[in-house]
Amino acid sequence: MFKLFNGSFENILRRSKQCVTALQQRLEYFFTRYLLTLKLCQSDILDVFDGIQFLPLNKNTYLRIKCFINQLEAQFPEVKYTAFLYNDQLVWSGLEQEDMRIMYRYLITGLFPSYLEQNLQTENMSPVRLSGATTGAQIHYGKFITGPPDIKDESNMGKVPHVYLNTEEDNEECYLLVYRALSASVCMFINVNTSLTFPLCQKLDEFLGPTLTSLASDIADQYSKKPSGFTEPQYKYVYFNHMNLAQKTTVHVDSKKASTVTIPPDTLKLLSDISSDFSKCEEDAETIVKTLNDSWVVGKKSDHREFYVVINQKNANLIEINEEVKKLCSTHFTSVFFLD
Amino acid sequence: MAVSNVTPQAEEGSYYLQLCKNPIRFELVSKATNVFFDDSNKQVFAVRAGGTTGVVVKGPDEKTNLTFRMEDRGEVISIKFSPDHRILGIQRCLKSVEFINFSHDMVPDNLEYSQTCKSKSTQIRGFCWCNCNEIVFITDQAVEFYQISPEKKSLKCLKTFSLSINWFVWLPINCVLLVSSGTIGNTLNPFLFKPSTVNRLPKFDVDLPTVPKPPKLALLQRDVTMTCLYGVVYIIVLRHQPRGGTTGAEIVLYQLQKESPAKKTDILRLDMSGRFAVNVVDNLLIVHHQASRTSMIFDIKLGGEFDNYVVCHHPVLSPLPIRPFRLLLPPAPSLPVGSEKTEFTFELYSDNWIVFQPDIIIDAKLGSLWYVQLCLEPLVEMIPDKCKLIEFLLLRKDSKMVVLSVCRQMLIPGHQASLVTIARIYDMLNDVYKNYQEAETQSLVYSVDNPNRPDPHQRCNKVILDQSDMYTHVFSVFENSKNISHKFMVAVLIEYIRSLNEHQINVQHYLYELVINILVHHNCFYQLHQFLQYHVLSDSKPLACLMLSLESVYMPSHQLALDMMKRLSTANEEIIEVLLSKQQLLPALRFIRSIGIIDTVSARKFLEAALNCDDQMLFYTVFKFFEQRNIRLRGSPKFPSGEHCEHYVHHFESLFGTEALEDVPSG
Repeated sequence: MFKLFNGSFENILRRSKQCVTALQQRLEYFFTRYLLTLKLCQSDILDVFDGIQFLPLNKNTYLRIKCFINQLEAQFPEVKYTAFLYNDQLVWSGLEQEDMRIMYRYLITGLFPSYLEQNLQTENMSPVRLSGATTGAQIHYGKFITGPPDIKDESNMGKVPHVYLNTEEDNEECYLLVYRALSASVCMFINVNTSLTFPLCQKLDEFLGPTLTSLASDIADQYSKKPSGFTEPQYKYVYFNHMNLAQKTTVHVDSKKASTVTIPPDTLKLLSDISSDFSKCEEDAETIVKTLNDSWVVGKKSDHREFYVVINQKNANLIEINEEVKKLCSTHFTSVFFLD
Repeated sequence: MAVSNVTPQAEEGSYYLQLCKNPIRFELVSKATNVFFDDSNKQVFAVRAGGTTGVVVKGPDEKTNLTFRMEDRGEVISIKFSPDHRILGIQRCLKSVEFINFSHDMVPDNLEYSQTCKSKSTQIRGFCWCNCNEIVFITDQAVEFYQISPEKKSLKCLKTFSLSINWFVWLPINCVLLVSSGTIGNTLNPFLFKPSTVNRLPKFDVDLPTVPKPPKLALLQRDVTMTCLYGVVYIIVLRHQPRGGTTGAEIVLYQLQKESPAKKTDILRLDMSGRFAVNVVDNLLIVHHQASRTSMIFDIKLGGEFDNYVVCHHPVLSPLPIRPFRLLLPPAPSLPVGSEKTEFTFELYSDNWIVFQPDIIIDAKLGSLWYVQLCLEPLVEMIPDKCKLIEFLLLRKDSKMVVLSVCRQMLIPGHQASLVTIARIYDMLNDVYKNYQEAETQSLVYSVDNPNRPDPHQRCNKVILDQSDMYTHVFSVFENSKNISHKFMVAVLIEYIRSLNEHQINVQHYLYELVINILVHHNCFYQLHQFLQYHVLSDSKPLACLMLSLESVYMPSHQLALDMMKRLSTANEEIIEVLLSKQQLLPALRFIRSIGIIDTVSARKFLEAALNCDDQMLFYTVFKFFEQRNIRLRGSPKFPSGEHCEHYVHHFESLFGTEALEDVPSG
């Protein structure tokens, strides 16, 4: 996280002509604030994985989003990289995986929650805006999260964070411009050597607003159509793939982890313990644990994937649990190669 | 709106119309020679001295050209062959039409027979062949429909419609006759001819800008034509002084209806006045204007301003002249004999021009007949809006190569179109492609009961660009042109794949391969990973193998490959190979157990892999696994000699001793 906003130590030293004090100051400034935001007592296995939740989407919508981003980058060469998120789930990243991992963490734990909070306070959740009342009433819900807070107020460029990326070159300093319509967010990374001007933001707003609004409502439609009412299963699971950092969880109610977990805290802690055991051995492995309150915890590791299930089935024996997990894998993970 | 940024005439390319290279030449009109044109068979008749010194017939098909003699029985008014060229109809007076039969080798029998019109007081205004043995006479008081029997040399009247007739227009392809009635001539009566029947369709009135007082004929034959555009019959009416204050003439299109009067559907704004003539080429209406010596093109499918009543069109492009035409003619008699033929650039839009439907221009003084042709290549430069250009080209026939070259051009640096434009164009191409695919599937269904199904190509008469066309002619530019950014290449391909998906067209593997190659070539592995994660690139065995091969440069591709193989469910053999090559013997054994193929795999392959692991316990386990299989299959732990496992048995014995082998059950 420090590197995201400051670049590497080496880079800081080089820029300050090997002045260690400058680095010290930076470190102090950053960590005195950052450490306070960490809530270690609430940390759990998700913090161990530090993964990314991807949005499951059908191919056509995904392609539309991807093409939209391509068009954005083609029309605005200033925009060097782009990432697309829906709520707290990632759809596309133009950044390299490691950069995206940190960026994702910043977005969902820092930027988005504070933006939503701010919006709640100002009672300004859905600013329906008419862009150019004379040129046809085109309503869209687009708004900059970082950048100009009001697209009509030219004097206010708003706050635009600087971030350091390592996607195409090391320690590349970029502006992070985030634009949101409904639940869809577009993160645009603009190299600091290109000037970020108000007219550019206006043009971006014109380009992004209408299409992003329609894409966001299409995604929302897709989700409202999905059968949500299928019965709550008897088990909870956490899944993580080290290769693409994809994580899934039914243990947590939302990814913001507002201490709303569906399993007891000590069971949750057990997951981290098993994971830590797994990390010590190279081989694929499987662990089955029965907890004191008579629920079963199964941990599996197979080809860089980790999978944990908590089953609340009273009086079940080991064989039954094993069967249950097999069944679970064959229904939930049909499209991945998962050894039993 | 008319759009053109090219100065006309300046360069060779700035013409969109031309006359065909080889006109049909015919004798000039003189005191002794009369020339007639039959627009049904498109034949020119030069009748010398009433036919006694010969009739020369020339047409588009050289095989039907002929010369014959006939008796001079008076001045010929009109002369036309039946569609099969077996009967010649000649009108020499206002009361009757004479007929001469022709043999197969086009020799006349010179025994004329004749048919007079029904009433003594009427005059024949003309006749038209509706069929090989059916003919219609249009008199000033009736439409008379006859069946002709050449063997008996007699005609039988099938039907007569009585009405007063000012003039008529005939559309040969669709066999539609339109006759004008009423004092001012603006009531038009359509008749539709089919073999041995004729349908009178509802009549309709053409609104005129001004009605003359006292009433007299105001709608003239020369201002009315019929044509078929996109398979629909239209009546084209030229209106010289339109009502409502707009200057310049306009053309009004009436769409012929079966059950109701023809409907006014389109108006073409000419923005000029004077003499006009209309041709139709490739479903385009071409309007020639004599005073400015230019021609305009209109396409009713390109849309216009719709006022809830009619669609108003402007020319597709600014008016331009037809490409100048040169003819090689023999030297003038005044020059010495032996001079070379001289090239003449002759006058276009001359007073001697007569225009016939659909695409014929005749210069009577030069003795030439041309077909008007559309030049597609110059249009590419004239329509700067690429979407409009492609829309226009897709409606033309034979435009495939032009469309492909436009698509290709759009990707080359310097001419690159925006992705938005490219996206819209790909959607247009795939719309046509999808419609064609559907039509083809439908016709396949029909062909089961009806072997005479129409060819789908002919039916849609459209330009189809499929994936292989795009791959070979458009995307191939990526290989040759090194200065296209890979980002743009991938964006273009993804745009095409998106469009195909949205049109529910299966994407061909070679397109995926192209995307992957570009991504791999530029080390964009994470992008590739994301595409695979969302199944944008469909699973296939070759793709899985490609991913496997990338493991050394991008670690996660191994997992991606295995996942894909599992989804394919036809790649189990490959999965085993992969696991064995990674010395993952136990996972491999579990895998074959999970998919239930323990009994069929080769024990030797597993034992060999186990041997190479240099792990005695592992070898022991694998060996025992297959011993168990042998017992289950054959009741004995021994490997059958066909499996060639002796080497591994020896190895096992040397490691663990013969007593470690499973006992062979006695008996």
